[in-house]
Amino acid sequence: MGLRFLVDSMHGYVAKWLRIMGYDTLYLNSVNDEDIVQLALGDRVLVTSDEELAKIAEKRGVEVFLTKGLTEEEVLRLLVERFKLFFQEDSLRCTVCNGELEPLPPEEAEKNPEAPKNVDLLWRCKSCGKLYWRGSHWRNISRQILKLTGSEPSHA
Amino acid sequence: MSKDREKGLRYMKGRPRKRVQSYSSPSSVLYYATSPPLSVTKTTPLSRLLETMVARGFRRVFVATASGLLEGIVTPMEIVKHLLWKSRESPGTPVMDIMSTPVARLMRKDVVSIGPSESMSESIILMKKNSVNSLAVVDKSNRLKAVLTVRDVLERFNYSLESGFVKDYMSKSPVCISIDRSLREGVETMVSSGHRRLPCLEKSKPVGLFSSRSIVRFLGGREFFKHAGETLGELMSLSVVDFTVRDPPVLDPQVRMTEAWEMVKRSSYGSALVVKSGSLEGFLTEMDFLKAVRIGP
Repeated sequence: MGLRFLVDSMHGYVAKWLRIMGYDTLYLNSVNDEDIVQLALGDRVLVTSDEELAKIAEKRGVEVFLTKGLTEEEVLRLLVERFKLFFQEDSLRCTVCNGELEPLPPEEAEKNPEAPKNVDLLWRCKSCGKLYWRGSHWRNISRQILKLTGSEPSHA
Repeated sequence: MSKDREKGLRYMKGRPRKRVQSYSSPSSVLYYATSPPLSVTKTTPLSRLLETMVARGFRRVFVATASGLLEGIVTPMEIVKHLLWKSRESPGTPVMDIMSTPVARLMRKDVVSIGPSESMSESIILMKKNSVNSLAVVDKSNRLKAVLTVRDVLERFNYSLESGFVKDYMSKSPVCISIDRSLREGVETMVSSGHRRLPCLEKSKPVGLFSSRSIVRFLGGREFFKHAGETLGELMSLSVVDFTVRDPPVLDPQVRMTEAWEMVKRSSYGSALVVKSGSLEGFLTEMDFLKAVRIGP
């Protein structure tokens, strides 16, 4: 199993980009400290700006990335550096719900009223059904990933 | 008080879910709250707790001392969390082993409570502020008197629901779960998002509801005995589909909130999937109805 993350509610931006890069990322929403530690325990890196929580979690054996005083951009850059993150072509995730994406067969895409025309490749979130495609926004995403990891995702 | 009246009250005492209406003013909390509330002690084992919850259909069970002092609360969410934590720590534990866990290890101590003579509008404010769906009604010495649920409040205020539509109050992109996920993933999503109910999708079509309560029903039901010989790890790798209820209420986004409440009230779920031409548009819970209640003039 690859790296997995647990991101506190202060870092929605970081959570989104970790998911875009394909990492299983839970984003916390009003959860108490004890539950956060328990959720992270064993197999998730906790990303938080809460020093006290970080201390408690580290004592219990959770790997913690403390983000105090850093901007979201910096957090992301440092995370990539420290954990050698890269864009995982074969594991795409929904930025909204962390569900895995599956390619949508063309015949279903045609029937779907939400699907854009003249796009060859479509993905669908297995959990929430949201559709994804590489439209004009993809240019910005690949630019950001190039900036972060030093290599551009393939345009297949 | 006449002899007959006394006898009547004593008779009432032993009957669950009857309102004590005799001596509270109609505007106070106690008038609408359910009394006596269901409570267990700290030493009650999980198996017994499950039995109580499933057989009597209570979602929340208070923990009190023998003399009635409030100590905590257990809801299905606490049980589900315990299951997840335990399965992480030691996946090899036999499932039956956790059934003897005492309530003290599961309960949450931060119970939001209210005085018996407070007003109903105060209860709405408290519920909204703490985003809880029930309040413990306690007297000055923290003795548990009754329980006031969001349902009680809505029954009182159903004529004050705003005339808005479901689409204005529902949560628009609810956290969902795919039916082919494992129970572990489902519970993780539940705990991290803080939602105890997740709409369940199959090939992006809504098919049901995956909730902490349905897991508790499973644990306390007959089906569980088929899995009694398994370990926690094996239990957690079961599919979400085994814990999904297939018939939650379904609403159209264009339905008025008042009509929606009538529908939700009749079902036992307290929430509804909002579906338009086969796809999930949103999710509506009791808390959303609470937002629609107009208090004051």
